Amino acid sequence: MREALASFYGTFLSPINTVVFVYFVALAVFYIVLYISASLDMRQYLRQVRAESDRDILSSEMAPSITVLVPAHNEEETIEQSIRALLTLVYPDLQIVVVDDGSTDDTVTRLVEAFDLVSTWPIYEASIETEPVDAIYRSGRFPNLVVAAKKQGGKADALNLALNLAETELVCAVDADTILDPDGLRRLVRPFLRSDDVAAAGATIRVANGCTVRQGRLATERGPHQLLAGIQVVEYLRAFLFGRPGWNRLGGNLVISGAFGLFRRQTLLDVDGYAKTVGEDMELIVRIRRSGYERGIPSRIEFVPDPVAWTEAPISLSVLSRQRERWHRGFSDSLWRHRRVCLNPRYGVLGMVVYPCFVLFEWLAPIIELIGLILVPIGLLVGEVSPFFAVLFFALALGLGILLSMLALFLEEVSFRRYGRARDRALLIAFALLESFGYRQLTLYWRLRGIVNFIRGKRSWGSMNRKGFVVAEPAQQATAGGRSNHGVQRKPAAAVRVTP
Amino acid sequence: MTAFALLITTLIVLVAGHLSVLAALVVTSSMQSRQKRREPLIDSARQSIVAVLSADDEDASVALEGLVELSPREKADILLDLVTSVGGSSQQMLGAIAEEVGILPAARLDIESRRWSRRLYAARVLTAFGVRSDSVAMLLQDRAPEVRAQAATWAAVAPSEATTELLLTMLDDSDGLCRFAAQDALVRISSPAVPGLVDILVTGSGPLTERAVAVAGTIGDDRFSAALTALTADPSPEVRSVAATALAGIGDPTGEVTLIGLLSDESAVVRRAAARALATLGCWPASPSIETLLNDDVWAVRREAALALSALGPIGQVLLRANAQGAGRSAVMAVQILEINALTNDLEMV
Repeated sequence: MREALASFYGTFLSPINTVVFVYFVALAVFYIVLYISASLDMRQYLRQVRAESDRDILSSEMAPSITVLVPAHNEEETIEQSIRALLTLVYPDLQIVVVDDGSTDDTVTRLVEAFDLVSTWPIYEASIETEPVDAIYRSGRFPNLVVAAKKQGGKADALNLALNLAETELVCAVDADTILDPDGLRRLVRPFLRSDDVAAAGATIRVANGCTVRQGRLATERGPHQLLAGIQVVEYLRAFLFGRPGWNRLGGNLVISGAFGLFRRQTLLDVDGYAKTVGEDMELIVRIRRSGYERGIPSRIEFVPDPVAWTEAPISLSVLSRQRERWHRGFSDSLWRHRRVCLNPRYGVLGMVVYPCFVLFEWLAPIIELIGLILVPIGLLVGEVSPFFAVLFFALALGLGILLSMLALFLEEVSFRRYGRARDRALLIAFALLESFGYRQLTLYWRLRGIVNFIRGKRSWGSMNRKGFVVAEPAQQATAGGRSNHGVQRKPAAAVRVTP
Repeated sequence: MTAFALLITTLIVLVAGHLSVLAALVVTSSMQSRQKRREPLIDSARQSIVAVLSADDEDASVALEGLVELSPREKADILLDLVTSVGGSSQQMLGAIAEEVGILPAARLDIESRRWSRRLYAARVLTAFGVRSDSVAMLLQDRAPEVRAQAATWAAVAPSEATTELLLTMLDDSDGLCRFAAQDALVRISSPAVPGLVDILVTGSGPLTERAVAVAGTIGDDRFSAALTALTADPSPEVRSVAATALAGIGDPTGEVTLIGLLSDESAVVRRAAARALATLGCWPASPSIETLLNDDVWAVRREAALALSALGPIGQVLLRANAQGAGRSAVMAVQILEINALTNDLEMV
């Protein structure tokens, strides 16, 4: 029996094992290239922002106007603070459109009470079809704030309604549970000033667990002490400090986080807005880039590492598992929808480099890792793989993962240093070491489940229960006289309504 | 065997990599701690300068003493931070301190540095202190776009005929950031930039003209009137549209006749812009002409016409009510805008 198994292994499984080995080497090379690219990009960016003056755009009459689009669904815990933070964003010409997507909790009531909302009936051009609108409100105290409540249609549908209501040159999509850096928009707008071909710019998302919030702004920036949240900090740093900037020089990003991204409004309208899918943020970017090749519309995607949106990371395994499963399912869906791009010379660097790399090194990674985890023990069992080789291979796989995390921490240290305390930094190193033991295997399982559920046709979002941010003191009512952008608001929300 | 050798070599490299990164983390962390320990020193220096600025009779030497122990970069950071928040004599005093401690002389030297980031920083320093120097003007033609853009900001602070001329050329720069910086600087310079802009409006074409028109509309000077009126007959609808908007920005009533003519333009973008411009000018005699647009084929034009009539006061309201009692798409739009007005009034009362 053992001999038969060994023969089967030698004939069929051993070549697969070789493929896994080669894949691992290719993955390591790919990450090294990505890291070098990210380091170069970051160096250039830091030299620029540290040397130039940063206040001119705030007083410029030529700055492009921006509408912040905020889709919300059952966000009663965090919505008030998030909107207060948005109202204090420093930008010359800013509108905010919040769309409640059929919440079953008190999200709308919280908003009505907190911002003196009054029902209105504006006109807007329904350029993109959405679920029926229940009500549209304007704030009695903040003329640049509009809130719409609609029947549930998903995040994409809510963003599309917000897009219909917006009238500015640029629109910024944010999640309702995120807190933006006050000057985040000023930095994120730069790529749009630089080139007319830029369609979207993405920013860094950081984990807010452990930080405290005062009056809608981050009061202290600290790393979390909980293991699960801490490991996610390391994960986010890895993704946003060298994953995304690395692609800036290698053919452009394929993802802009739905939690904070700035878009040219006309481009979004040209591609019919967000698609109703679980991975609507990635799908949109792939569609924009694809449309760039097909129709010649602006399609360049930039990543700016400096502007930061802070988000609350899940601290329970069940919530985290649902989130990661959904992410990978959405990722699979986006790749599948645009499969014709893959290795198609018509789509230039997108089709020949970026898309194939995302399939090979992101989508396939959990599948290959699983194959490796199954085949190596079998090889050991039948004596086809030497224990020394197996131990070395696992040590390398773990070591590479840890090294990438440590390099991300190093990039953070030499660039933005948002976690100022030595204790936080020591904890982050510990989390980077611990990530490979248990957590990484769990994310492998969740991602595989995402792929399986995508194949089975699952389309739902699942729920995300949030604990709410740690508030430093009772939230104060933001006032017109407070430190807000009131002094530079120019026009009230436009009067608009759906045309029959 | 080769695979083993490869694996072992890689593992050794990996371990070395881990150790190097850890060492680098420790070094950067200790550097940061050292920086933190210097914070009281920096705060104290900042406070001594603020004290000098708030008491007119203080001797600047007190401030200079506070800066002695700081590095050039720390000194520059403090002074830059302060100088952007003050003006007049305080700015002059900070300029004198910056000169004394070597910040400005170093910046003048760095203008000619081979490293673009140094030239950029130098331009920033000289902009912040409003230093007038021909050598900074050279940076308007620098090979690095970031430096050119920063130099444009400087040119707005220290304008001259020559720099304004270069800014006008920069409106057609290959880099968007430079074009934006040039537009912004010309708006800030305002009146002295008008003759050059008029020249571009008369002789330029395409996107360059569009950018010049946008600047002209923001500056809002009567001298643009003739050129902008001529541009309302430009073959490009984009140019006609921005020219209409700019005419409203100038506030010149002689443009009203031209704008009324644009209400029947073949391009919807231009008709919209004309309706909006007439509303901005408060040109109520144009109300009957705008009213015809309530029945326009394009929804966005009908909406703009309704909003314009609503903004034009009683006569516009009368026309909206008259249309609301009728039928068809003009009635639908008129009803919607009247409902909004009623709700907006309620909102204002709340």
